[in-house]
Amino acid sequence: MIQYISIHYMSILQAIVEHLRLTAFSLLFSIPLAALLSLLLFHSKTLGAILTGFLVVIYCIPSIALFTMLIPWFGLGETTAVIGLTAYNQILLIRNIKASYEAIPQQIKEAAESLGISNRKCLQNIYLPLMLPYLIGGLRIVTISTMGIATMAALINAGGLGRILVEGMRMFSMPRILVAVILISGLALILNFILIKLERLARRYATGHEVAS
Amino acid sequence: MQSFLEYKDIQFTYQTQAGHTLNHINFSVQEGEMITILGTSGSGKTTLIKLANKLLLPTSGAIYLKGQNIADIDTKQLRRRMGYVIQQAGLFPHMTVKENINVVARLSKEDIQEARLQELLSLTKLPADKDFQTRRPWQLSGGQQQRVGLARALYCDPELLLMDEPFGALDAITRYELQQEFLALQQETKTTVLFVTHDLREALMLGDRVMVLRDGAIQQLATPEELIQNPANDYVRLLLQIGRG
Ligand SMILES: Nc1ncnc2c1ncn2[C@@H]1O[C@H](COP(=O)(O)OP(=O)(O)OP(=O)(O)O)[C@@H](O)[C@H]1O
Ligand SMILES: [Mg+2]
Repeated sequence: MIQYISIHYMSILQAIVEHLRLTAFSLLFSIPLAALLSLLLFHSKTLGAILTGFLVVIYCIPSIALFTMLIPWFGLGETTAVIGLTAYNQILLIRNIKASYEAIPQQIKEAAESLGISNRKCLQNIYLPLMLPYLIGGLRIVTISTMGIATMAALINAGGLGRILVEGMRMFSMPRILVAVILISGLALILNFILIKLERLARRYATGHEVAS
Repeated sequence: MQSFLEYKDIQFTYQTQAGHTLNHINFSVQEGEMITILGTSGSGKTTLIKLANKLLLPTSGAIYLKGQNIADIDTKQLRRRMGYVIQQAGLFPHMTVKENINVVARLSKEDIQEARLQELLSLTKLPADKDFQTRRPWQLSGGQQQRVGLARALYCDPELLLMDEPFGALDAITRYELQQEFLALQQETKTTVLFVTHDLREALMLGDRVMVLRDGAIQQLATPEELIQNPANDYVRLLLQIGRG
């Protein structure tokens, strides 16, 4: 394994960068889209039920199948992978946004509503700060799941650590498989750790505990 | 004379509940009047005042503010004209005492008046020092939270104050002081008030008129003297007997 790493470290590094880029782009598109859809769903229950059903169906399609289905439109490569990953994330993110909103105590919502300020200001200054710890918690789950599924993107030439894994499987090369697995889980662990820290900060802010103590 | 606020044949039913929570509610309030709403837990007091600022919409009937159906008034503007002190204080946990009190002015980028803040802190018998102003709700006692809630509702000089057991979490002495202060303030500013309480003495002391509510129906709406001299029915009589020990 050491030998494999010492020879191929450039390619490994590149795979890490690709993997992070796939994850980052997917999240970059997923989050605003989910926020937008959540706002829509907030206004229409029927639309919400239909869309949620649709997104659940997408979520249930195995990733290889979903990526393959997208190829005719978006070709092989990163774009297809990012679109597929973004589609997967929607149901998780939307559910999370809904749960975060529901976590705001009823009396706070009543107090906020009775102020007579605009919805945007209310959301921005009162609801979002209180939802933030829950939102980051959801983002953590989605980030880890995206990193995992992104591995499959190698099968449609989108690169990432999945590439090394696929190579390893094709060549029966244990070092490759090990390196890929260790790096994927290692990256996931690191991101997990960072997001837990952020979540804790957001929670302290939301509960007013960032002062004193 | 046109009344300031009028409930006209209001019925209200919560979606999840079978019968009416409020039944044929009819009453009107004159400008500058303080109505105390007295009733046992679950009688519909909170429901009744939430209809005034459209937190709840009546199942049937209408509410008029200065002759205008509130259904036709822009909800935000309507709420800006009213202050609402909610039962559990409902302070925003991520904001300081000061930020909670001037939240409307701050979020709508209006001038923040330091003098107004000081005035409200002293009126609500809260400490006025910097340390207190920068505390968060979790660092306050239940009674202090309620008083901050009251100060927040008063900040914008509302035309109508909706108060849901604002002094519920206070000790007898602080409660008495605050009742006196509030009464003086109300008489001075002539603010119209709907004041919910389940304490008979508070209802009698503060109210120009007292409304007795039972199972969502008004039993009697009368001045304290009239209530005591001529209770409308056995329920009101019982309430007076128990409440006065
Ligand atoms: N959101 C709700 N959904 C369904 N039913 C409700 C809801 N809120 C209140 N109720 C019911 O409506 C009735 C009146 O409730 P309300 O909160 O107005 O009582 P209240 O007089 O304010 O009581 P308390 O003194 O305990 O605050 C109760 O039977 C209560 O269970
Ligand atoms: Mg109540």
